[in-house]
Amino acid sequence: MSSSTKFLTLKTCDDKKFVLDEAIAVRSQTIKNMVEDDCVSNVIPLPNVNSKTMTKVIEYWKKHSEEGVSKDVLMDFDKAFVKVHHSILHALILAANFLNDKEILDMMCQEVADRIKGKTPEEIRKEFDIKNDFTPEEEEEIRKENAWAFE
Amino acid sequence: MPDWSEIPLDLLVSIGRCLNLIEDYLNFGSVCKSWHSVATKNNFNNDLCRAPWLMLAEEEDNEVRKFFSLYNGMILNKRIPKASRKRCLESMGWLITVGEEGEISLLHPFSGVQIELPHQNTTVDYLNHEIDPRTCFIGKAILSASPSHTSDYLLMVIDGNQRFLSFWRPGDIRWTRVKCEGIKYCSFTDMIFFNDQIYSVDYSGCLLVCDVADVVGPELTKCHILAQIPTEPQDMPEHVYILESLGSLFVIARYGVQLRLVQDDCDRVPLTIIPIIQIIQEEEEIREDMVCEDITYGTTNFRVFQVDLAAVKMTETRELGDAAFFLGANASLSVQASRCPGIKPNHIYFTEDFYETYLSYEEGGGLDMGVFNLADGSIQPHYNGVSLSRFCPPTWVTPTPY
Repeated sequence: MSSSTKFLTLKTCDDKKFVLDEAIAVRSQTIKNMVEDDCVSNVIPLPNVNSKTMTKVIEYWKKHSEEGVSKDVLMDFDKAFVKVHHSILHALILAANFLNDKEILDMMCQEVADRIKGKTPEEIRKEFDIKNDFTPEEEEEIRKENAWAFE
Repeated sequence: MPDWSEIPLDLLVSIGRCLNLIEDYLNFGSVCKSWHSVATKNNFNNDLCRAPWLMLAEEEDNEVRKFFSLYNGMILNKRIPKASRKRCLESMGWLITVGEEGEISLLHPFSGVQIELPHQNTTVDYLNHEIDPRTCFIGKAILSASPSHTSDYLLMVIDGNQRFLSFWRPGDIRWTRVKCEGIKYCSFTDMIFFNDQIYSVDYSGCLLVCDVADVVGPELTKCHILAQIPTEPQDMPEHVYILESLGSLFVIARYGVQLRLVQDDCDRVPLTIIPIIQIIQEEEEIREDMVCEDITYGTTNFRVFQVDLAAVKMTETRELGDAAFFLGANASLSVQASRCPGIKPNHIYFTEDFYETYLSYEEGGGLDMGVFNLADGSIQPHYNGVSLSRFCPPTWVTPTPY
């Protein structure tokens, strides 16, 4: 490490602080913009992210910043990383969106899509604990003409 | 608990874009109101290759047409009133519809766009070749390019009781006959655009070729026989198809589509044959013991021949690699199974398109469908329901959004 290593302190919505190498933290485009605009004081507040989610994000950032890690190892890491309960997936998607980390966001969207594939609407609702908010009439309407019948 | 129905819409759009199959996308859009609102046609990632859907026969008093997906067995519904009581051929996701009065159009089943084509009575010397029923005047239809993407395309058809090839271009007010020089008599069964040539096959198993530029030019088209399916005389194909797969041409012979005497106890839905005894009587002496129940039909076998254009010969193969073929009233099609979930490689997915046979039955055609395993010759059903029609038995349609 060079002597010019700078550290940033991130503060999550539940008031937990994370001290992190700036070079790693700027994987977040949001943080990077703040650093570049010089509006970083001592602590960067992350009002939309809780500490549990931030721990996961930092775990990902650190792994992907390690030197000399093979592609296979990273792939295995990613595979395990997305195997979480949908509530964590949900938090990670929102966090990645707020932090503006396209890599994590794309990976999470793909994971949600993979969990949708091959399932009926009812099975998808069950998977993600979603309430069916269609009226029976609306549902019938969708069923009646569902092939490319959008808009 | 997190609420997935309330995540920002742009994130939902990103999730939807990760779904490659329309079946998954439609289910995604049927989960809840907010998800439904983003599952629009424009947000769908639609450049991917897709396996055809099985368009089922029209149900009585119902304008909604059902499509069966081989991927997940899902039934997709679409109102297509313009296809009602029409015979439907298919090419590149477009239907070529032929009505009872011989009116023809190109119809996109999912956007509803319709392109009226000249009546079949504008084909050359129509009155001498008119056939009954009129909906079968056009035997097969193929597009050179999709009207969804260009106005520079040709629609080539087999017409006049399989005797001729004719074509139509946007703007033409009548059909133009391909005048073949050097061919005496042909009974065309299928054709394909390939490398600026039109390759066609006929019932005798001949492979013919002519030049597209020649065809649309003012001169006579020079057409010649390239090769003949190497089958034994006792094994003449009953139906022949041609298609392109990964840069090669393949000719496929189908067996069992013609009426034959029952020799085994096959277990299938009983159909009501229209007395055809009179027809047989005219042709030859009728056998006293021949009653309707003794007659049946149904695909028994396929043989596939790869065409070597350089060596001008056809070689039989039982190994298609990753390819799966779709045959029937559609433009014969090959897809890569590895790119289409639910589709088995080295299999032939077939529907019933031999109208000479199915029009012998009151209910029409639709039973002779299935998946043929080229490796072991077995046939399995792909759709378990019964869907019959005299106009349009179940047909493969490649789903395209517009």
